[in-house]
Amino acid sequence: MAEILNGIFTAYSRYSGSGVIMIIFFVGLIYIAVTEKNSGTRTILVDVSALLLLGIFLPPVYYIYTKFINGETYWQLFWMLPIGIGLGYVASKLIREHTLSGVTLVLVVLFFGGEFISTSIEDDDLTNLSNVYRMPTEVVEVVDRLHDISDEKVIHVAFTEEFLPYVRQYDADIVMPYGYSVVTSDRPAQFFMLMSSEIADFSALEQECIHTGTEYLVLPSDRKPKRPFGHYAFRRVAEVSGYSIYQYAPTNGKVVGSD
Amino acid sequence: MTLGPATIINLIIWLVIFPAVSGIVPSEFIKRRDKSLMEIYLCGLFLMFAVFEVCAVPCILMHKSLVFMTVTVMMVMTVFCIASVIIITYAFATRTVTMYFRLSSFEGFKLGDAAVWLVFGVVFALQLFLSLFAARSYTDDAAWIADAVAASSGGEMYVVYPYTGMAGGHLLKDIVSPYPMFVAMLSNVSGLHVLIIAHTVMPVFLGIVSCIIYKEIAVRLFDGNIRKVPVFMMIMSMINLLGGYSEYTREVFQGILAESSEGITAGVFVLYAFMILCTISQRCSVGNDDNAHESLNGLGVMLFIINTAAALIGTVTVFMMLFMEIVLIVLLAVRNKRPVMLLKWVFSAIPGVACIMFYLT
Repeated sequence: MAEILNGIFTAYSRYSGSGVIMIIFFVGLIYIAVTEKNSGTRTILVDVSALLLLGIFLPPVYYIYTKFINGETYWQLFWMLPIGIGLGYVASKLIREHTLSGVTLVLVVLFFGGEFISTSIEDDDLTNLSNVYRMPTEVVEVVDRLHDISDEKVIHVAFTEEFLPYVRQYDADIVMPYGYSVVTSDRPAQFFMLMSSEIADFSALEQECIHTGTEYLVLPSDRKPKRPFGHYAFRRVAEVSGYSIYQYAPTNGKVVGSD
Repeated sequence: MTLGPATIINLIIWLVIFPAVSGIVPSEFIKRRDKSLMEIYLCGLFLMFAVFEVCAVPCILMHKSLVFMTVTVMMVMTVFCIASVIIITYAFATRTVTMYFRLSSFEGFKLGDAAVWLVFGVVFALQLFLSLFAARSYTDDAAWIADAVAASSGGEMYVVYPYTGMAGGHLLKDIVSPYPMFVAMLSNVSGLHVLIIAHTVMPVFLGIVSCIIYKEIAVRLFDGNIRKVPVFMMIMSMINLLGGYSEYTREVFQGILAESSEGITAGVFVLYAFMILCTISQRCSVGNDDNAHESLNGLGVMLFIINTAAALIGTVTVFMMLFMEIVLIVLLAVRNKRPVMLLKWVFSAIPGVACIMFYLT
């Protein structure tokens, strides 16, 4: 039970931030409950909000949601509360009835209670977007170059972590031996571990390429090889946006290895 | 992929004309007279989402191509459009068309109102600008956009694992909520890359849809008094801009992640469900007579459409819709001593419950 309550309050605190806006919302609901003459409006804004809030805080609802839907997203249920609409309704009533003091109060609440939506997120999962595809530019450039290099329609490529969420959003003809899910996996693929290593072990990478049918590797250009590069069955075929594209190119079992 | 006239025309057909014309059919269930054009449009949009859900799921399960599914959806929407034209033609023939539509009254419109609309326009334009240029790429997009890109370029739906591109089946829960295929369909008919549809077209489109829903909610909250709407709209646009009191708010997802399933839930579905529930609440407050309750039957059909459409987005969306609906319906059923309301709602909830059952399997 304590775990369930903890989960509910964690979701609430994640959603409400400092909590100021929720206090303002509750005050607004009381104001509507006292002053609103239209029973339909009062029902939808006050009664339904109160019942929704009660429902969200009910342990059985949390239990059902986490058991059958997705416990990680319980905070989304707070979206059902008409917080913005309720505040907007109270504010417009105040402005209509007490123009100057209403406007002042609304502006004070808005600017001290709220925060600009685009500055509120400091999440590593979000990337600023700069091109028409809204993709990191290096992803677009590297994938385009891969198509220039390769004669195949479908290209088998292994990337480092920063590319994983984006490559297949841009081009479905790129097939990867591991995908973005490997990042959050408890047991990430060996290939991914090798690609993430500070020192590139091309002999081990070669085995992975043979095993998975991967033809190209995309690694940061400053990635140092374990041994001098000439010893490996890879050749560097392009350099784009700070990344080197290596092609796995064995010739009759003879090591090619050259820049 | 260039932005030519065909691209614009196709996007207009799918995002404006289909919803606006076909919306006349479902709007009949809300009310028979004095309909606003925006109300009709919203009905049509949710009808289109519901039609897509109903057509797409069998197509995916039967391994049909994206083109086949697109043609199926187009044919069904065309049938609804033809039915709408018949309804309007009948209204013209019986000379009731003037009663059919409600155009906003500008009686008593003052300069102050114009100034408020202007402020709203500026803040709303800023919102749209942000949704385009301050938009971020969300790593959670990796799967659903990759699914859409794979379907758009390969023609087959859900046949490869989105993260890697290797052959692999999908979970039934993904197939039951095929919103990525909706984006893929728009990409195919317009010729624009899925990413441009997802990160540029959809944020602007959904931003405008949110704005329309806010306007309709305002009309209902202020009991049809159109003069009170502009102040509400201006404040709502400010709240939407300053609603980042945490990074999990509805306003954040509506504003800068509009194209994601969370964004569309936050910015469109929750608002539209609120709008329909607001209509039910207002009608039940008018009187406890049989006529008022009879008129709720049509709104039950709209809830059915919304619940079907919500399945397109995902189970979280469905859960929210059902939760909001049951809270209001139980409240009204108890307050008005009409338990039959609850029984009628059960019919509306069938698509949502079915979606959750699929998810659980």
